[in-house]
Amino acid sequence: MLMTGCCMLVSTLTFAQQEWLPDGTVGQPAFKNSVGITVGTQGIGAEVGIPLSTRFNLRLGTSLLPYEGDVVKKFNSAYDYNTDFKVEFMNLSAFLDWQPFPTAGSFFRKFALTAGGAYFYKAGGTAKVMLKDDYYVGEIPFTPEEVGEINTVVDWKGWAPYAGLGWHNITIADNFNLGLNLGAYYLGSPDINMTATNWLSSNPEINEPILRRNLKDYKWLPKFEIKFAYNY
Amino acid sequence: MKKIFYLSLITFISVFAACKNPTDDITIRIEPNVFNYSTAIKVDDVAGNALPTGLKVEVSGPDADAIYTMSGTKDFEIKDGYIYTAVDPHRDPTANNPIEFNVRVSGDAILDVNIPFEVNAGQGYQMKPIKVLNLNNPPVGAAVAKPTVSLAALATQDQIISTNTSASLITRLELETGTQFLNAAGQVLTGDNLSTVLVNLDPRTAAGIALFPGGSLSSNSIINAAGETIEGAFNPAAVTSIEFFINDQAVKSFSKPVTVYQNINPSYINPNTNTLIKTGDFLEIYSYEVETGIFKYERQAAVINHLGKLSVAYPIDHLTTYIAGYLEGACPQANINLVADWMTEGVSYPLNVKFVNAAQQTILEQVITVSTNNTPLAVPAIPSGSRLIITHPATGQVYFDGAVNITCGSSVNVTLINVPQQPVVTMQLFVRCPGKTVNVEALPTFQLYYRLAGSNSSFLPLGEVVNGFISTTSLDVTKRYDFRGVWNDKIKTVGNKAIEANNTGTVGQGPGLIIGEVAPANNLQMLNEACAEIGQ
Repeated sequence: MLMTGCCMLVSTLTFAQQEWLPDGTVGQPAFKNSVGITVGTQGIGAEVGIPLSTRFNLRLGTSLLPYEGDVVKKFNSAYDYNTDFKVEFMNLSAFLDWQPFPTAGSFFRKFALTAGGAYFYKAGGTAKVMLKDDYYVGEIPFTPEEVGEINTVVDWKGWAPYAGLGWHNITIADNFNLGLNLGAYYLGSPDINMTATNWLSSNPEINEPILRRNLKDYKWLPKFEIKFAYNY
Repeated sequence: MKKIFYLSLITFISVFAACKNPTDDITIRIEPNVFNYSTAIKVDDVAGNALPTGLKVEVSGPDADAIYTMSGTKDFEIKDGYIYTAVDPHRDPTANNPIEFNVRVSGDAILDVNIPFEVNAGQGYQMKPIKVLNLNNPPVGAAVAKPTVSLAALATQDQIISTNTSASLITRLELETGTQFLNAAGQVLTGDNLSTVLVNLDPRTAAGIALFPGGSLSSNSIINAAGETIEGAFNPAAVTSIEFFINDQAVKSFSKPVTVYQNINPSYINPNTNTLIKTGDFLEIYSYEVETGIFKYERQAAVINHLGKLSVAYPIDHLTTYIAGYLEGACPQANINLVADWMTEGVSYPLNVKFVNAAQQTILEQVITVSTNNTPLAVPAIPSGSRLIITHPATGQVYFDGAVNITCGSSVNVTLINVPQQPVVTMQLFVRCPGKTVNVEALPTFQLYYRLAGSNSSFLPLGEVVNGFISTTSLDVTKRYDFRGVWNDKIKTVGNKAIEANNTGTVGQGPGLIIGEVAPANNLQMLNEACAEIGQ
């Protein structure tokens, strides 16, 4: 509620400051006051759009991506391991859109470049790896619990700048419209913590550096998002 | 302006093009540290000589199902003079529930043995010897004879056979005319000759005591006259094992009683009178079944003078081992607490533990390794007041020598003398898999044995190497040693190694790495197999 209220206030102020193109060309603004929901690689979210001028637009939003699953992998060994993983990305974001082609045709006129950032209060995942089946030493079976588990936490939590592009305000019907955003957050290198128990306890020392190396290029978090909005 | 658009798209796509699969190159290693309790059973003859090959090893007893080889199988065998057993970790002993099992070693050329073992909580490793009588090479104190009786002759007149008459203690058997011999199923065996194996053990000798049935004078599987199973320690005056065969079929019983005349130790002190044994005294007769490892009270027998020697005479109706003597009272569930506050935590101290009875006969001897003060030591069934001797198995340095007054159900403190120790020597073993440039992280845990280089003596336990590391005061940096590592079912020996205070070595293939000198190809194969198990 507080955020929505702030958005309304900013919107009122910026409408009063609207100017048209400096060379006098009359363009068509791509942005209008809007509220909408988003669906995409960042999960689901909500967003408020506030035009700051004829070519600039402020978007404030939030998104949530909780995802859980499990896979079976061998991890270069002779055994099958169950991997239970959980991914969570949750953020509060603010973006500034710039309409570069206000006088172009319909497709390029609604195109915008975006810069901004988000505070990820959750960004990362956990994985628990355990043997899928019993482990045998000779004829003696040992349960996966006895063999142990490897737990890994990967965390990018914190501030992340964003750059991207998109199409905005593609009319569907009356005041309802569609938007599309493509871009990436720069998250930087993740914090990685691997722990293990029992007979797997030597693995963090060996595998955490490998995971760290594998994830060293995972500094960018891609974003592909469709927005359904209502202009008011 | 459209360049801006295309440039933006290309930038967006290129940002994500170079990411690697997060699980690439991740190899999960399982580093099993399976067994918490293991027992090394050293099998040889009394003189320490290797036994004939092809001996059969079987494990039985109440907790036999929990006993495995070090590789987790039930394929027990003698390897380089040792049988290695381990307790299924799901069945580890607890304070009130020790693990009990028997190991039976049998073969044509030996006197079969059935040795009981007990694994107690807190005693992770023990080494216990099994002394086996090689029938073709008996030691002094064990007289072996293999007389043959013509069954045709027996049909017409009594026959007498005896153990080796050159020994000072002899056992004679009188077979009554017309006796028939039966197998375990009660069927009469037929043939031309009765072949026999008669063994007389002289309890006055160390060999005679070492070869005592069950491997110890102490037993917790004794059926008394009332039919109850009790614990106790034998004080034997005579021990005789009798085996009969007809056409290689074992005889178990006879149609008529066979009379045994058993010479007894003339210097035997009658525990009832505390005086030298004499005619008119009585001794208890016990039988011992090697198949079950159970002693059973048979009868009392009067001491007589037979052919000029103190003897007992009694009839038997089945074949087995017969013991004349007394069973001395013993206390079940007694414990000793080894007090040694001078011990450095984490350093392995091997101890040779020996219990001796009033006749100075060894009741039980075993080697354990301890690495901390106040280690509990399970006490076998021994009479209170028995002598306990604790020494260093290699140097013979005496940590304790004195009577132990056992108190039933409670623990007795035994304080070990702080004898001069060698400086602490540490040994760290690394492993590098073939073709790799770095050592593996998952280092092995195994038992390490040692002996002086060139001594040809038995290997003694040095202790458990945990994650490739051991710390000990048993090694002298001025000497060279042979080392033997027992890792799961793999046994490797490294000879004539000089040591320093801090020793490191890396097993592997390449310059400066240890691959062994005895069978390097085999070692390399073992290394490859072990590396494959951990994914390297």
